[in-house]
Amino acid sequence: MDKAYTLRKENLLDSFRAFLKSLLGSGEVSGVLVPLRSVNNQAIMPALVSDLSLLDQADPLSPSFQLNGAKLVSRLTRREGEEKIAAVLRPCEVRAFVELVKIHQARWDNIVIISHDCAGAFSNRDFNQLAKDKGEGFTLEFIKKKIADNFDMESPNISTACQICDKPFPELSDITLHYFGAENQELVIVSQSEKGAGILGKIAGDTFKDAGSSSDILQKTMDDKNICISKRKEKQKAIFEQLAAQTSSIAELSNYFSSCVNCYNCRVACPVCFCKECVFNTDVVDYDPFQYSAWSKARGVLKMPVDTVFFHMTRMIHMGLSCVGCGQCSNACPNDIPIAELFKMAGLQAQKAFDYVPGKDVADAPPLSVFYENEFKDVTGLH
Amino acid sequence: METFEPTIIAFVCNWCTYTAADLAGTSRQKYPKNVRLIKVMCTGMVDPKYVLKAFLQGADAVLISGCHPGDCHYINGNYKARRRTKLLHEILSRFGIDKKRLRLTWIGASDGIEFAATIRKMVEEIREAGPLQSDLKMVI
Repeated sequence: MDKAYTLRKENLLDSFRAFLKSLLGSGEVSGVLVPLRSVNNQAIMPALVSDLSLLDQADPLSPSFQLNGAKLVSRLTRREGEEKIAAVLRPCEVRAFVELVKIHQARWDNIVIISHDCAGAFSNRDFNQLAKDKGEGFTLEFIKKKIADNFDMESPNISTACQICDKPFPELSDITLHYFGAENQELVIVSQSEKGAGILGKIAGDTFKDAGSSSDILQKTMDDKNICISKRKEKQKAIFEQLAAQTSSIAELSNYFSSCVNCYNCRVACPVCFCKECVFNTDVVDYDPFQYSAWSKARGVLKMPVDTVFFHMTRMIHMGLSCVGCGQCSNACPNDIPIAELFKMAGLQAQKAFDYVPGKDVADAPPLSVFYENEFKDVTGLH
Repeated sequence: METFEPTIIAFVCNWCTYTAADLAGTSRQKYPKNVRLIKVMCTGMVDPKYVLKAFLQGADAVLISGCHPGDCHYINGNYKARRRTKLLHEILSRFGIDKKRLRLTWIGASDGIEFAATIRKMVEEIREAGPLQSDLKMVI
């Protein structure tokens, strides 16, 4: 049904850049949000590029995932009728964006979402220590290796969240760029929405060419993709089993968070923690000094800062249903608490109970925003 | 050996279950003293945080109780409570807080007898299940 286009330059990064250039150059969008490598310090951060020549620094394929871009897209799209832009997002960023669109924290009407097969990312610490200074060469090496091993996540330095990610291939966007299995370094460009199809139809030409039906082309890599996903699911299962044994009571959960200093960085990094003012910043938790003494006297001891487990469990209740598994919470933790897998595990269970898949479809209502008369009868009563 | 006396926090809605508790009292129904009633206007205002805080501060069980479906004085608060309880069940059971420690019941204003029976049954169940955590000291 959908048309596919192919693009082949010297290497994948060049192909990616060539595509972005033809998109920005066509005037269809006035800017592109894309991870950009700074010439000064080699750091890769998302940047809104409006000058065509600067797209030569775009580096969306590196294992750098400094933050979840969905929050940035939310900032860029919160008003109606702004200039049309494009954003290059990893699949988990798109899922978070979809969750934000549902709760009216972002708009999809005037932005072109471009997603791509995701080979995984390093933690910020690992990336900054091991890869940043090696520049573009590292990205090319990395991506070549990932294509050769079919996105095998067991390879060193890939973050745990990425190792257990079972959705590394974009399912929802306007335009997707595929390179999984592309040993010949060819980029396959497919539209996934009417908007995307319209734009590709207009800008296709010299740079990239019509290559027929997308399903025919993507079919070739389907089996390998499925193997890749089932491997990840196995890994996920193993990690979850270990985690479940490790956190089977509140006391154990408290141990898990024993080095938490209540900095709330995980909340800041979380793309679906959307409240403008978190309850943990309000006077609800602004206890009077006598309250602390009372708690201490009641039990003989009071761990401080207080509310550590309370905070994390509240966050699980608040965003667990929307958790897209991007892993930025673990990335943000100053004390390296493996938060991401715990939240993903708890979130998945809740999502299954409500038959809800976050980021799957803008039309799916978040479970706590709706209710029906005849449902969940087993929840009530003593039995 | 001393029998374990659980602490149960009950969030009861002003219009139905609180009135039922009142009726249980005026009609001299007996139920164990383990339950602490907290009157709320509607089960729909029971924030999941209230439940979490209760458990983390030492409650052995939590009861949320309000009007029967269709009887909510705010039209649909009890349906919202039901979804939230479902979510809490899923998350809490992951961390060793069994579903029977968080109950949601519908007890109408005229059901004084049922209110007393519910509390009796719940206390009995939790007594059997034992304290939620014996080593909660460092948690809050």
